[in-house]
Amino acid sequence: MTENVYRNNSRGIQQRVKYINIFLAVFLVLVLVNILYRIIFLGRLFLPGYYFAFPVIIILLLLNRKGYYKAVAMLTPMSVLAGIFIAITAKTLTEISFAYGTTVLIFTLFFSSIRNTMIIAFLSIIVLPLYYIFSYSPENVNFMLLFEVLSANILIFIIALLFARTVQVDMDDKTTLIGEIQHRVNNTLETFRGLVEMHDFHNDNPEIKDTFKHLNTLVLCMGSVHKNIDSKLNYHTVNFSNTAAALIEICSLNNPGFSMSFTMEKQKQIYLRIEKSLPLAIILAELMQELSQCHADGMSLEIKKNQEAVEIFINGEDTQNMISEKSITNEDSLSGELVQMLLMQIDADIKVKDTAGNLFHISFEDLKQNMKFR
Amino acid sequence: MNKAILCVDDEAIILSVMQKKLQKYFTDRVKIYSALNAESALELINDLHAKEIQLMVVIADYLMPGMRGDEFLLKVGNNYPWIKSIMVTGMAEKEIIEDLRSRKIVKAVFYKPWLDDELFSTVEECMDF
Repeated sequence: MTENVYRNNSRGIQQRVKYINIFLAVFLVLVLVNILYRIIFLGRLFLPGYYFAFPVIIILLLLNRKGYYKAVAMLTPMSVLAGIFIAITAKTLTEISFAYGTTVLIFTLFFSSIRNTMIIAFLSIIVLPLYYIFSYSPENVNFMLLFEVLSANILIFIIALLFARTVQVDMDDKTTLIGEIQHRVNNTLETFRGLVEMHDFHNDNPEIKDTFKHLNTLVLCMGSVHKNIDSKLNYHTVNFSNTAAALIEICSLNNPGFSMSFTMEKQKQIYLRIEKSLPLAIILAELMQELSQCHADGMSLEIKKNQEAVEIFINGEDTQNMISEKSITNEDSLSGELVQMLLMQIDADIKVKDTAGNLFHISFEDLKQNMKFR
Repeated sequence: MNKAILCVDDEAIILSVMQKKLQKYFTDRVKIYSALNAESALELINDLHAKEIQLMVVIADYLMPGMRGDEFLLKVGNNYPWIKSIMVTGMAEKEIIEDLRSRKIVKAVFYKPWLDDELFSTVEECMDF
């Protein structure tokens, strides 16, 4: 699978290289026209200092094509630094204009994002000619200056594009690797479940069989969390609404007669961090397991999330009065120990049969979600 | 009994347990066969066909050494269009799964670890008893 994804990435890279080549070709034509203009009309060949970046761009492009992305990532900022040096030591208005472009690159690339850098550089290519044309009367427009400033901005645009591509390839590779690890985790969970079931096949002791069934349920719960990890949110976040629905289904299949409805606030999907989701799924599975033995009717699971906390309510009629604070805090039982241990891990509070009539009320603070890449 | 199901997975433990559980579920109504890779599975399918054993369903893992599950199921679908295919996977690319579904190469896809009852009922639907 990994090889296949890499192949798909390569196709994307080739397309992007094609676009970069188009920009490079435009830049080459501009440089050539510039040189011819200087020779024919000015009778001398003097190139501004920033033209040094031209061979650097070619080297970057060649390295990109060969797949030396790390070298490109190192060379690109170095070429920017060299550009800053030229801007600082600039003597002519042309070179100072180049400093404008360099400043755009530095401020947007390092303090904003690559996408913004490309947008600003691209807008500069459009806006600058308009600025020069409207600032001067048509007969006084310094076309040489205009041309060179445009060239500088195109250059910056290409550098930003190369840099963006390099970062994108790096991110694609990481996504592929994380996907591969996900695959291995799920495969290992299924293998472990298989091992438990093999033991189950060779065992007739009802108590041991119950233990195997319990283990099986926990593996399925962990699997449901991993299946709902959101790849768009950088694999840190789990769609817990889907996970909760899956947990109820697992518990229903393992305990015939058990049923529970699940309601979400305003039909919103609830996302939780992976480090909270896995323990919470096991806690809920244990509670559901306990409830399934109580034969309680009309049970429902409700999850509410605001900016500060996550609240989980399990409601229902405790017909046989089997749910008590004692049962869930009793660390002598495996279930009690598991729940207490995991509640501590996610720093959650639990109330059993609280005054509002909930059978269980779990609340904990959720971590601030700030995991999207710029 | 000449109806059969074939399970294909490179993980011997998963394969063995899947075979046992399916055999337990279908009892003597169906014979469950297994193969550790796609190549030997194709040979087995040819053998079963030669022996006039009616292979109804193939359950294959997506990621296997050698031929991958999607390629294997595509070959099975081309050569034996009456055989229904089910794929099990750790985490296959969504685009590939959608492609297989849209081309009706697979009847269903189950992500590991799967719920046995769901798998069994889907297989039973495919069996068309």
